[in-house]
Amino acid sequence: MSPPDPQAQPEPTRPDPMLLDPTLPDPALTEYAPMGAAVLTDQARWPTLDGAGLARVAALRAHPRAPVWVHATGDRLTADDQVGLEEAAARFSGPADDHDWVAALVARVHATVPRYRRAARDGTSGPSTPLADLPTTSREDLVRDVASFVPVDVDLTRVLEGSSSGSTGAALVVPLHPVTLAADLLLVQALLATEGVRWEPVDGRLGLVNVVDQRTAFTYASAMTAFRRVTGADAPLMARINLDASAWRDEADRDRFLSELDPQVVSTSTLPLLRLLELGLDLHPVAVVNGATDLPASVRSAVERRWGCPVLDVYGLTETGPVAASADGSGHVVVGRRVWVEILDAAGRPVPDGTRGEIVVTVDENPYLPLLRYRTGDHASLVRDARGTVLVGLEGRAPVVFVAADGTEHSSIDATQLLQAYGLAVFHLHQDVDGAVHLETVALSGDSQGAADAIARWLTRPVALTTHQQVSGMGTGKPRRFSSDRTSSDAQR
Amino acid sequence: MADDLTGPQLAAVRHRISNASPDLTDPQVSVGAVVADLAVELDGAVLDAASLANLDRDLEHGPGMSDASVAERRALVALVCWLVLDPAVRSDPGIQEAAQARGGLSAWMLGLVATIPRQLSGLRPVGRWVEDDSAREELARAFLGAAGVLPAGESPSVANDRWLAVSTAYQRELLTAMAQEAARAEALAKALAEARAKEAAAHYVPS
Amino acid sequence: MSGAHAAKVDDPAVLADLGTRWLAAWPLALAAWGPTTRLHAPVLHDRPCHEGSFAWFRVDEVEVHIDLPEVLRHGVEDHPVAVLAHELGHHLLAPGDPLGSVRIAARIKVGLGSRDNLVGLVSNLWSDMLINDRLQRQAGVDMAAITKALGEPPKDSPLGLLVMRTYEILWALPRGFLTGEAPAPEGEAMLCARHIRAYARDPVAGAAGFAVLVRSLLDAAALEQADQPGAPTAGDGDVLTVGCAGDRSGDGTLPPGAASDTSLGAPAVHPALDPRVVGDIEQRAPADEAPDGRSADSGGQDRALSPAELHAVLVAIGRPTSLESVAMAWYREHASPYLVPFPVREPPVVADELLGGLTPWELGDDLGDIDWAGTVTASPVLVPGVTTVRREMLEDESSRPAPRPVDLDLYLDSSGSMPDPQRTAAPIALAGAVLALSALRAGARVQATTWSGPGQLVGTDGFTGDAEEVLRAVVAHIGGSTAFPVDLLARTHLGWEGAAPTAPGPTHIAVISDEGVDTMFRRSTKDGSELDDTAARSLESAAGGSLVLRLWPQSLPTVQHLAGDYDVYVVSTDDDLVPFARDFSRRTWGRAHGG
Repeated sequence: MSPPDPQAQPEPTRPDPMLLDPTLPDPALTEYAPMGAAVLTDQARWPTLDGAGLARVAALRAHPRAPVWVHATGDRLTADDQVGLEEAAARFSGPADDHDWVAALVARVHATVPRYRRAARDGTSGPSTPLADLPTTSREDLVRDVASFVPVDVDLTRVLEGSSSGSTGAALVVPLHPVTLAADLLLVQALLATEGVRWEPVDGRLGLVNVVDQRTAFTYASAMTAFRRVTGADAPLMARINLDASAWRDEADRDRFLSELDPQVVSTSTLPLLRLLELGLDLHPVAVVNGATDLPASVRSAVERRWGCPVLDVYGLTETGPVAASADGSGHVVVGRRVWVEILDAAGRPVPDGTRGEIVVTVDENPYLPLLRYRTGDHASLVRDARGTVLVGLEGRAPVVFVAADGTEHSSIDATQLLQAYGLAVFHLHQDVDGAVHLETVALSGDSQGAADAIARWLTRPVALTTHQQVSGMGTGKPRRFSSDRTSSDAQR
Repeated sequence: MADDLTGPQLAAVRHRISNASPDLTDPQVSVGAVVADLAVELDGAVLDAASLANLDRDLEHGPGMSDASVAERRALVALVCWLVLDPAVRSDPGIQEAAQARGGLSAWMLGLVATIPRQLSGLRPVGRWVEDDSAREELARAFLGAAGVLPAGESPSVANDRWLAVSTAYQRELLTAMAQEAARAEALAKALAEARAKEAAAHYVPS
Repeated sequence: MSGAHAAKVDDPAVLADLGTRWLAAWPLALAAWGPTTRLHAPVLHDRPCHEGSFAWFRVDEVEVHIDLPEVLRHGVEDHPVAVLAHELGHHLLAPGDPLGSVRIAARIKVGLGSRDNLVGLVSNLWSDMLINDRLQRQAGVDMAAITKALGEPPKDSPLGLLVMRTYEILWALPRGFLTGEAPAPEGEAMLCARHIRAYARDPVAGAAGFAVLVRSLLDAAALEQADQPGAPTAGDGDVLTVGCAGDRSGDGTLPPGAASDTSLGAPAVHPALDPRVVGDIEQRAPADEAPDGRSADSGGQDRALSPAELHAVLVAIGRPTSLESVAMAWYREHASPYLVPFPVREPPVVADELLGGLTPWELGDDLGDIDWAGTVTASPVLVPGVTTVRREMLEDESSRPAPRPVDLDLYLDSSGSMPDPQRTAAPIALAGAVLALSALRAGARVQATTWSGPGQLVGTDGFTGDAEEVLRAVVAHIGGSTAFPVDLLARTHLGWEGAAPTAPGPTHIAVISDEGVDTMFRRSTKDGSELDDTAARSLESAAGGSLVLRLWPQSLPTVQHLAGDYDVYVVSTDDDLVPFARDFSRRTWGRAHGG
């Protein structure tokens, strides 16, 4: 080309990543565009709610101090689902199940689930193969080909898209069923009842609030039509809210919304829970439910001191549903769902009770995703006592805190969202004692540079990027996603 | 499937099929007569009324049997007879032994005439049994299997594997199952992509 | 490998003997593909080449290579015909040539979904399987023996087991002969065998289905192996192919034909759903889960790949190239059917120059023009530049050269939400390419400028006859605000700060845009905008001006008013732009006006 025109600017290259507006959601997180994923009518969201019920939800949405709702979603339950819900409630409240269902599950999957039909065709396993002789299923198996784990004979019209960010690797799309999700609520009710907690709908109070604390997150208002209650009583309402200031129209709204609606059950994970405690609000929950991250004893006591209520720590993955729960911090008791737990060593062999190993779960609750010997990546030892089957010393996912340039703290969950939105399958984000941030990725897939720039915007500090050509470059053993050299009390409260 | 008796070469049986004259599958031919004549030729047996009646019943029109289906069964019977008639088949030591175990050549032959049409009808268009390579192989292997012998030079597992590779019934079952799985994978992807699925539903416990 | 074997690898005598034997086998390998097959002899290396295998085929040079030490290391020294015939298969069957490479890789990429780093491996595997099956079943070459010699697949490699079991089914080998003891994916192997038979002569059409079939068998192990793009496997005992390293090509140019092949973008069909593969055994009775009457040829779902997709394919098979150069080739190929025909060159008219009078020859004139007879006649003393004369030649009217084609000053709008021509098929860029390349064909010169906000231009910055420069400007993308480069227009047609206008001759101004064209006639100021007459004055110096605009009907009156004497052509959809450009080019640079 001829000499550049003095009037013209140089050819445009990548825009400076730091110039993108940091208050807006990262350009890769398109699904969080407000109401971007909300398409149904309210009637379709809550098929069993009558006009009065829908009006109550609408009133909650329109609450003067409500957050900027990013999403709208209901429970999608129909009148026909009642039967399944009642059956589930009976199972959860009844005595601990035997495991006859496991053999029936093995037989069934060999006829209906592609992955096991293939095994039958190839002769590697069959309907009467004992569970312990079947190969384990890994998260990578689901990521690679989740369709091969979905039975060929279930009606797909009710399928919902769930996602699991997991402890390593790429995001996993999980097909979910409305009844399975609603059954989680019934499980919580049953577990709290066992602990002697009274949870009955009260006019003017939210039945449950689901609390997160992230830069971007789905928030919505809903009615819990599956809630077991006296006939004729209104379904209690729930909301999912985000403590982050950007989610509210006015600074004061958040605190007032929570105080006024005084939710009966607070369902959350460790870091948002701590933040909530710090806010010092006048709340009177009957219980706290903790999920997704490990619950340190100190946090449990802090809740008991502040609110005088028990904390139910529920262990489970999106793909398995709840597996075990702890009401007192001394071991997680396997819950009364159709879930069977094995503890296996690194070579996949069962270990004796009391020995530590990987938690491997067989579960038959989600009609779209029966799982056999699914490796969770979490570790514990297993004992059997009067309470039932108990997981001791559960080590799952501890959230890691990253510190931005201005000293504010951010949860690794935000980082997971970002990194997976840029398509990264394997990554490790680390922060040094002095605050310097390092991102390691593998060039298998995704936009490593884009992801590094997004993290740089998120923490408002530069990110040093290393991209390996091969997975082995990340070191041996299970790759950790997040780590911080800051003292453990700072990083993992 | 087959016992450990070894019979004639598969290639010889295939070749014999390819030499079948078109008259064999002519619907005008009285198949019952062909079978009766064959029985006499094999070991002098004269079929009794009961056997012939059974044969007719198998071949005649009945409720639910279409013209095409009857014609196909007749053709298959005729082809089986044609194969049995082959001196190389009749005098094969393995065949002879298998037939003895079943009460003699004509009894053995009647068994084949009953079994093969039931096993193979509906799998291929009638004319193809003689014309297509893979059809001839399927018919030949079905014949030897029903006859109670292995193709010469093949072990039971080799014979079984090769049978599965040409068995239309097996292929259909297998490929239908795989087609169903492939179609489901597409249907699942489509269902998940629909916005309804993306709206998802309320979650109560974080995980 | 035994110690004795190891010693042989370095022994020059052994290598020389091996080379001689293998060279002697070449005619047999050629004959396996037919009596008239010809190709120059293979290149036999006696030093290790570190290519990852003992044999490979260079698609661009059309040459077979053999690494003799590797042959010994793998223990295949007694299989020269099999190996050589296999490599020949890459020339004669799949991929055949660089275009075939790209087409197969493109279909494999569609079938695999999102795993670009496996495209090279799976493409090579597909080609290898087609070749091996052809040689074994039709040419009578013992591929089974060499496959066996290369060893069993690892027990934990479902893909390797699939390949071996498929060969066992295709070639009626006993189960386990190639797979060893580990159980193989039986159904997939049956289906794969059918697929290979169905597409034996159609490597491109069968590639996507093959990729769909193997997709779910690709595991972490394959991922690691495939880390080097375009390099499939063949470590010891690690067999995904017959050990061949496939076709090695380094050139990144996009082969002609790839950009406009509409079969490349069609969706992939799983072989179990492909009538061409399973049609012969369709159920007579309706199946309980009948797939919606889809046929293997997807009918209305064909589409050509975008420049970005083709670029990804080239990168995936190890042909380094830039997205820009792929885009340039893409638009050149897609514009081609719409270009004006090359001008017909009239044969030069002979002799009819008429003698005119004598005029002075001055210093600086061409020495060859001096008329010596006339000069000497005029003055016996020769003073160059003073007494020298030249003969004026008058042109015969009839032999006057055709009028010079009008040049093109082209402006392409790349503001706001205009698509990026390198990512997708961008209609404005394609229309611009049609105009510019037509003009160049007719012998005109072109200034092409892609524009967006103030000072945001990418262009040839001057007039050129070089198609590459012009295409580079056409495929540029900016995506900023909207501000027509009025100053460039002025520099080109009116002159700027004392410099003369840069347009070399009569020039047509063409602008392709939308409502944003108003910035050509209005300049924004502190308080709004004011009219600017640069465009109108430029038109006066130019040989015509056209605005090709995608407009809402209600905007038309305003724009026409602003446009003044510019011809305004309105198209309602993007699809109308290219046919318009074609017709406009014909009118402006068509045969009647060409050189």
